[in-house]
Formats: sequence, C-alpha cells, structure tokens
Amino acid sequence: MNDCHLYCVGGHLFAVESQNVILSEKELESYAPFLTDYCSEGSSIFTLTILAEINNLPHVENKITELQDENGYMSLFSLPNGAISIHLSTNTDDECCRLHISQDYRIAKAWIGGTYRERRYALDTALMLLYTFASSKYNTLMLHASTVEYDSNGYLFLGKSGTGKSTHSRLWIESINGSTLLNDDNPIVRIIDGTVYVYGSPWSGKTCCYRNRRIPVGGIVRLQQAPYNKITPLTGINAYASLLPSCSCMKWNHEMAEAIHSTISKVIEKVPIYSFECLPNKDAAKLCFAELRSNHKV
Amino acid sequence: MKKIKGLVMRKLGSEKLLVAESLDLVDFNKLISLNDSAAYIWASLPATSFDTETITTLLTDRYDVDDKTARKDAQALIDVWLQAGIIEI
Repeated sequence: MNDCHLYCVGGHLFAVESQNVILSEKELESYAPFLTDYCSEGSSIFTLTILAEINNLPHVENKITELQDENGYMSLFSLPNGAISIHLSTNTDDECCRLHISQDYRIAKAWIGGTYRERRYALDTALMLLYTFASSKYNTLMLHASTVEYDSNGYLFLGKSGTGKSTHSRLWIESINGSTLLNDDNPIVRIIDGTVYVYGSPWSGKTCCYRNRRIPVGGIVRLQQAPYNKITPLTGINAYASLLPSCSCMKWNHEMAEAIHSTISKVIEKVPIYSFECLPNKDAAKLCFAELRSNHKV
Repeated sequence: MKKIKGLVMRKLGSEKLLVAESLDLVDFNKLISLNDSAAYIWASLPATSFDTETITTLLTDRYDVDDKTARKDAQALIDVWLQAGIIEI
C-alpha cells in the first residue's frame, strides 16, 4: 500500500511517501499543520520514501564521519554515485533508521524501525537532514533557536545546548503581553525579495509547537549565561560568528557551506543581531524586549 | 611551514574570513578574521610549503617596506598564525 503526503515548510514543498508502512497519525502529528494539497510535479525540493522495517540491510563501507547529540548517534557513509548513507540510532547498538540520499538531495529512502520513540526520532531526524540539505541553496537556514512572536515579528534566541533558549522564550511570554511562542527548537529562516522571514516548523524539540506561520524577523539574539543582564549589538564578523554555529550544515561540503555563508551574510545585513549575557529572570526578558523594540524599523 | 588543509577564505562585506571546510577540521570551531595584508599573504602562499623568507618577499613586493621590517612582520605573522592553528611547522 502506498501513501503520499505533501508538506509545505518554510515555503518549500516536500513529499513523504510510504510503501507498505503505515505511519500512524500520532507519528505524523507535528507535520499535520503543514499538509498541503498543492500538487505540481517537480516542485518539491525532495521526496522521501519510507520503506518497511529495517532488517538485514547491507553493511556499508567508506564512513565519512560520526556525530552525536543529546538525542542520538549518526554515522555518515559515502555511497557510489555521490549518494550518502546515514545511519541513525538512539543508542550505540541498534540502528533505528537507514537513510539514503541522492547526490542532489532530491531523492531519499529511509528504512525505519524500532520502538515508537525511535521511529519518531528517525522520521524527524531524516526529514530535518533532508530539509537542511535540499533547502540550503534557496537562501534558507535551519536554525537551532527558540522563537517568540510579538506584533507580527519574530525574535530568535540562539545559544549552546542548556543555555536557556526555551527559558528565555517562556520569560518573554510570561512578562510581555502579546508575545507567543512560534517555535522552540528549529525554526526556518529564509530571505525572500530582500526580507528575512522566520517560519514555524514541524521540529520544535520537546515543546509541541508546530505552527504553520511566517513572519518577518525582528531580531536575533545569542544568549550566554551570566550573573547579570547585558545586551550588546553585533555587526560584521561578530554577528556572523554568532549565527554560524546555530545553522545546520554539512560544513565539509563546499557547495552547502558556500550557500549557508551567502545566506548568513545577507541575514546579518538586514536583521539586528545581539549578544545577550543574561540571567534567567523576567528583567532579562524585559531588557531584551526593550532593546529589540527600540531598534524596530517601522 | 604549511597551511592547514581545509581552510577556505570567504568574503564578508569588506572583511575576509578563514573558515574550516573539511572533515578533518570538524572540531575547528573558529573563525579567523584577516586584514587586507594578511588576506593577500594567505592567498599568495603556495599550498605546498613556505618559510619566513616567502612572506618577507611577498611583503616587500607589494608594500613599501625595507627588508628588515618586512622580515620582522613576517615572523610576527607566523607566530600569530601558529598560535591560531592555521599553519603548522
């Protein structure tokens, strides 16, 4: 049985097909707000086909690299014809996803298995990777950030894991009337006709906040924990350096690295960027809000 | 001396940056900002190997400096670059 869904995230279409596997509504709940019926062949940036259980997949040589984050492990291999194979697991032993991606990132297959949690992790990671790779050449960034909306503008909070991005967003929502959460982990930033927009996405970390919405970016703030609150505007290389580590990218891939560089360069020219040394308190949210809004271009 | 492989020079407005673009440098989490003369030297150095003399010559070729000052500047640049980890002996 074949099943095909078309989604629109960050203004880019992508298709998810499943062959002989039925993904439950629960597994796809974060994607539901992004479902679209707009169907025109060839306009998707990629198509992912999900195949039945992950059993007896062949051993692959030519490991490129291994990566690890708080949720799982990832090994990358190079396949013939420039394709790549990515093996995902939530622990070191059991593979829960094998993902094959064509050289142009447009066609991908994923074998997904394991428990509900593993399947969900596999599906989300596979789609995030594909989205990042396939959208990079269209002035699009997948950022690691928590994002608040105020007065139809998006404010992005970046920072290393554990810095308090989500906490800072929560403090805005609690102390600033009219502010709401747009996305808590992986918003999409895209430049269209010279305007930098932020979009909600199906990827929002532990917070269920899957909003299909686009607003202009009002500011981007890199948070750093400190025993005081001090906000500093950044320009040039400092602004660039504060964005770069929060943008998903295969930085060893020349084409993708160039595309991300070009997009970040344009973003920092158009959007105010700050460094914010801060405490996890409401005064921090109020100070940040006041600074960002004073810079707001009407 | 040699340049570390996998570093790429990129333009950011009027500034020049060195960034890592290689699997061997996945943990190189630095951006190196180069001023005009440093960018000129980096771009002109051969991929194979170079020494203080190579940089001294590049400086005297392009700028109005005497040999002694150029050699001193070349040595200072090498010290900074070694410390930044973008060249190796």
